[in-house]
Amino acid sequence: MNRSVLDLKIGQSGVVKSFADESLACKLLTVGIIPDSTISLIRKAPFGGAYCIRLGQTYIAVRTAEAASILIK
Amino acid sequence: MSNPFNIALIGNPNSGKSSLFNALTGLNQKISNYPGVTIDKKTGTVKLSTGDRIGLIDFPGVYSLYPNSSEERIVVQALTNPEGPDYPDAIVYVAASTELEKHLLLATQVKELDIPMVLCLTMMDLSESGGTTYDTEVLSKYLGIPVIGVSSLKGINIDGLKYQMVHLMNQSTIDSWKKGHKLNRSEQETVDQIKLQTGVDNEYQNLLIAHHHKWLNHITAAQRIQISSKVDEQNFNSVKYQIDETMGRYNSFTPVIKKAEISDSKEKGSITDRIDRIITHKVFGPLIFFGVMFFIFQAIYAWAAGPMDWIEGLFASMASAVHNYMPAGWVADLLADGVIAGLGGVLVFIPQITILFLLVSLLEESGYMSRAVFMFDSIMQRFGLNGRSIVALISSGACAIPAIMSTRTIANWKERLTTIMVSPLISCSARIPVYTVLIGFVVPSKTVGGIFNAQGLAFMGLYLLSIVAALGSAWIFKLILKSDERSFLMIELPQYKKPIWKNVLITVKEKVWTFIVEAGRVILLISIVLWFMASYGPGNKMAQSAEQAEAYSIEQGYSEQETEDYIASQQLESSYVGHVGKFIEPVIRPLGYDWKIGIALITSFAAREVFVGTMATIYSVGSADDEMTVRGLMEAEINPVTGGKRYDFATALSLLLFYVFALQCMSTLAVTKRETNSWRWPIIQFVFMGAMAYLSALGAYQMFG
Repeated sequence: MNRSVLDLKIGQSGVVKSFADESLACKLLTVGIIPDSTISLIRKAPFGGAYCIRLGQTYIAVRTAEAASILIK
Repeated sequence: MSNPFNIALIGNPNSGKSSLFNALTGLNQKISNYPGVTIDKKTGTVKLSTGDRIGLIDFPGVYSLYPNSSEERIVVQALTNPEGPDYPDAIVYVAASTELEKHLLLATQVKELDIPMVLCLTMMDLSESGGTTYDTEVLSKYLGIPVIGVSSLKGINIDGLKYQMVHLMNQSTIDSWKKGHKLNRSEQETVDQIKLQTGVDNEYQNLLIAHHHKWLNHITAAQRIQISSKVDEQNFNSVKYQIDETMGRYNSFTPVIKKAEISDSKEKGSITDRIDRIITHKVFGPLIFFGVMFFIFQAIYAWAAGPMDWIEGLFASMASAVHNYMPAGWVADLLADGVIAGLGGVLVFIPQITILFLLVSLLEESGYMSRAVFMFDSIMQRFGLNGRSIVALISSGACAIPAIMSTRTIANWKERLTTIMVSPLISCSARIPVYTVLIGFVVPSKTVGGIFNAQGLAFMGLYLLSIVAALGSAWIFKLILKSDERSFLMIELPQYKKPIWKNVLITVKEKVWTFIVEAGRVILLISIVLWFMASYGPGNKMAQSAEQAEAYSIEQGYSEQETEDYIASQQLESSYVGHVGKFIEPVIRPLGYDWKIGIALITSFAAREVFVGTMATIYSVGSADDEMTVRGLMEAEINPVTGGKRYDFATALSLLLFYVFALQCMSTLAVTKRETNSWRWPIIQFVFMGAMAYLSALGAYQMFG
């Protein structure tokens, strides 16, 4: 089963396996989200629709669809 | 001037590039923000120890040479065109030592362009206290370039960087570097074919052209067709190759970083996270946001009052000084009633505009703006906008021009276009003068709820109205515009940092100064033209009306002062400007305006703030009293039809609404034209905002008049 970042609980971390969507992958890779990197789900946006994730010391805001395309081990 | 040596600052967003730029150039920089001046780049000069002066270009921050937005494309555009004006002679690559791994991706790409380069690690002070430091020798050996650590905040090692720049100037040869990416066969064949088309030697530049030939504007139409066919022939899969290349680069430099890392304490609980827990909290987040907005508008009103009185007084005494000490005649009249009245009417708003720009740039500099993007993305999407649109909408509160330019970070064309179209609806600083003058006729100055200024609240109400109008129009554009282009958010939330006052003050100074120069120039010109048109009339009508007025005054038994005022106003009516105003009066009469207001509407189509200057000029020419302020002059104006005040509740409200909605700003139209690359959108923008203005003003006057 393919688990994505969306399946993490708030505060939980996971290791990136691959991406579900090639064109989103291009964008995600350039901001440093690469296979084998550790990602934590930090919080949900106040009105929903977006999540804040942490990668090392960097916080990145992604939409639900973008988070769903990051598959984790 | 001979062509100086140009060094480009290149790096990721939030790499500390702008702070470094300020530390290197100080006040020797040009941040160009307005039409007619190039806006793509921030340029400055650096003086080296050898006495040489070099040019420094601060390019927009990008993550890679595979750009998403038009702002990011500027960098690729410049770096793939060796013949272009922005092609640098050398590069200072800026990477934050706090985020080195992520920032090296672009560094390895840029390195492959074979341009002399130095790697500059910024924020060394933060990184050391945060725990991670790097062995610069290891990095230097891998990249084959000098690596230097600096702190722009504390001014550490800036001279060391300048010393490296001297070396860059003298570097004549450079070895080809291909550690980051080895071309596969299809890439190699494509690149070889494209090389024949472009005549460019560098392999990586040709590869980038293969990826981006569709939009790179130095590629001619004929070349584009050729390159397209080569790319198809070789089954060049842009998306896949881009992923392969990026992965290859990470695989190459990640071990190097691990090796260069001296100490690491990444799991340190960050202050940023603790702040964000509250700032982007489900309940507190939005509350804080609206609190911040409310504070800004109260501040504009409350803090600026003192300095505004002072400036107003200064111009009033200047005008009377001119009349008292200069020989009476047309020169003195032109100076006092034209130039000084017009300029004073606008320069009085410098305090409010300074406060607004100051607060907006503090929000940006501290990192709060991107939290707002994160919080409101889903709401913005409902209106066909992007979370990033909120930056434009907030900046529009200062000025629509930088706001429209800030939309370049929005990758999706439909979202970007919608943001451009509705941004000018948000009340900008140029409306502040108009609102301030008119609001007093609609809302009395008193305190409500113990602490709030009623006029301040009404002021905020106008802003809220403008926000509703902007979002409503955006929603309509969402229904009309069609696009199947993909939209995404993906934005970094940088660590909170104490604003660097130098950066903030430089930005505010540039923007306020631009306002003074740009607005001042237009206003000065219009004031002078207006004064002539108001002081002279066709044939001998002016003289005739003066005689008639004088006779009428004697008949009515007016006092000396009343007689002078009556003659002045009768003369104004028969002047050139009076004729123009009379000509358009039928169109604006349903809105409650007379020909004098009509003149102000016409002149303020250049820029809204001209309204106040025009009022000052018209009523100063039409009155013998110099000491009165614009408001005082308008207050004293009588409606000849009703005998009541000219600026009664209904007329003032109708005028206010007109100025909330109408697009009276030539600069905005020009910037929309440039950013959308067609006349179609500025025309649509002008028409729909004009229709909203006319209809709402009509409604208000018919209801209350």
